Amino acid sequence: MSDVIPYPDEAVRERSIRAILDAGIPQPRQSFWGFLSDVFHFEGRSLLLPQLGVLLVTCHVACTYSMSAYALPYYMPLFILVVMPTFFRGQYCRVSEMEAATHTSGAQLALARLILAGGGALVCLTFLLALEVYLQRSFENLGRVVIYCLVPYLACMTAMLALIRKRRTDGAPLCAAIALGSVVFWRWSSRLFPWLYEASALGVWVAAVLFYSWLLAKEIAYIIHANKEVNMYGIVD
Amino acid sequence: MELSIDRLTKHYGRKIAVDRVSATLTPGVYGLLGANGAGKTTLMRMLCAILEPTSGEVRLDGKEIAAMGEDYRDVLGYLPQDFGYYPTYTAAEFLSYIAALKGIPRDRADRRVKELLGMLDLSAVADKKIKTFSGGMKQRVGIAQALLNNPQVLILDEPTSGLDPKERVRLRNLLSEYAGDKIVILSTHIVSDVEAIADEVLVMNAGRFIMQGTVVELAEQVRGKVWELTVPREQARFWQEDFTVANYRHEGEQVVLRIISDEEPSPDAAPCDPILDDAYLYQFGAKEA
Repeated sequence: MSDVIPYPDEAVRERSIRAILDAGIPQPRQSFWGFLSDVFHFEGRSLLLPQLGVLLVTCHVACTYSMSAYALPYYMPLFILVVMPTFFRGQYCRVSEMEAATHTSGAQLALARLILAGGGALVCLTFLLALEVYLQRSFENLGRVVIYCLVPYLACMTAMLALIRKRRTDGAPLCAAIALGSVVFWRWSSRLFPWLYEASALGVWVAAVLFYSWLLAKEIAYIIHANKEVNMYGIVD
Repeated sequence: MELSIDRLTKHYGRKIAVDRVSATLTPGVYGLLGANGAGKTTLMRMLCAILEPTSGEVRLDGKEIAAMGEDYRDVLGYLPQDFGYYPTYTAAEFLSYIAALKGIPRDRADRRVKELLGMLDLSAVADKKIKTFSGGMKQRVGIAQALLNNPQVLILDEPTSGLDPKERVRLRNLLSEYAGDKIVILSTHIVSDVEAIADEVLVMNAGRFIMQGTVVELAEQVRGKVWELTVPREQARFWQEDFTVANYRHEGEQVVLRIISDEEPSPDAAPCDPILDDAYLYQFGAKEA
């Protein structure tokens, strides 16, 4: 054994080592809500502030250019685009391997992030709809606007969760491409497919909402199942 | 406590990374030694239950670790080879974040983080961003996060990489002090790190354990095969071509070669006491190692 090289403050080191060695192993398990509070503490800002930024931009555009009801959908993928870095950060900062070896499964972490991001998006969407009602001074189109907004949001959220589940190394850029592609698609959809925004096409939108809700529910069910089964959702390949 | 590895195998397509590895680990420090690509990291990932084996199993006190889930991860500390961090976090914030993932309540985590920062001599930089740290300091943050939950099974993949000699000695001493009644497994390709602290050494090559035993036992395997030979400097190159030379030391115009060979390389060669390095080189040869 080599010589012991003392730390600058040997007393501090000794005290620390003793405390570490004397510490017991069993720790009280945290409930999921306690864990959610911790995730909020560490990631709340990066999940909520960017969504607030998107909300402000959308509100500004809506007020300045008196945005029509079918212009709102193309802002919805932006709510996914801005939270995406937080969902994928473990992967591109090379922390996911370490995270996977902790008490928390990758599934639990993804679920906590999903709840926070989804909650934030719900508040933003409610605010946007309230603004829409205020600007139009009517509740007449509210139902249609809700559906117009939900379809792109659900589609992008489902795509993001599927990419996380598949643990693709190109998951983050692919997710960004899908979100940006959606923005472009919805931006041009009213010109390319004007019939889509007519009252008679409402059935197509309802079907789309149901379809993407079903896909999203499947993704969330997978996360919950992985969580319960202590499945290694965050396993490395 | 006993961690048993039973015919653990991992295939990547047709490539076999780990090939039917078996061992029984009890409390102590285990050094996993092997060249790059020997399968050390794959084995460690399977021991951490973050990589699914193709076949075989790992059991902690008779329970399969994959089925134990969070119960296993509660007693596990892991430092991956490629230690990553969030660049916006300070050392204290990063450790608190990992403590939260490890399920440690915030008040206990704060105390624990402070203790570990003190132990690893990082207290002065606790509030500095990790991205501003040197390689050795980052590695120490990595070691601290592995120790957060006072793990019973501590797995460190190349913990000494990036550390300067002084820090390496500190880490060795720390691990020796920490081990006690715990299982500590550390992988490295630096033989001296293992030699200094490991109670038992597992040497891997091509996905299999090819040698297993204490440092003394492994070194003894090459007794009578280690020689010292003094030759003129201009001849040294020829000896290196024909034999495995473990060491090369200048003495004036002469060179003292430490040669690993089954046969006496020259009547002038004198046998000498073997060390772990010699046993390792005997298995792999100077070029492969």
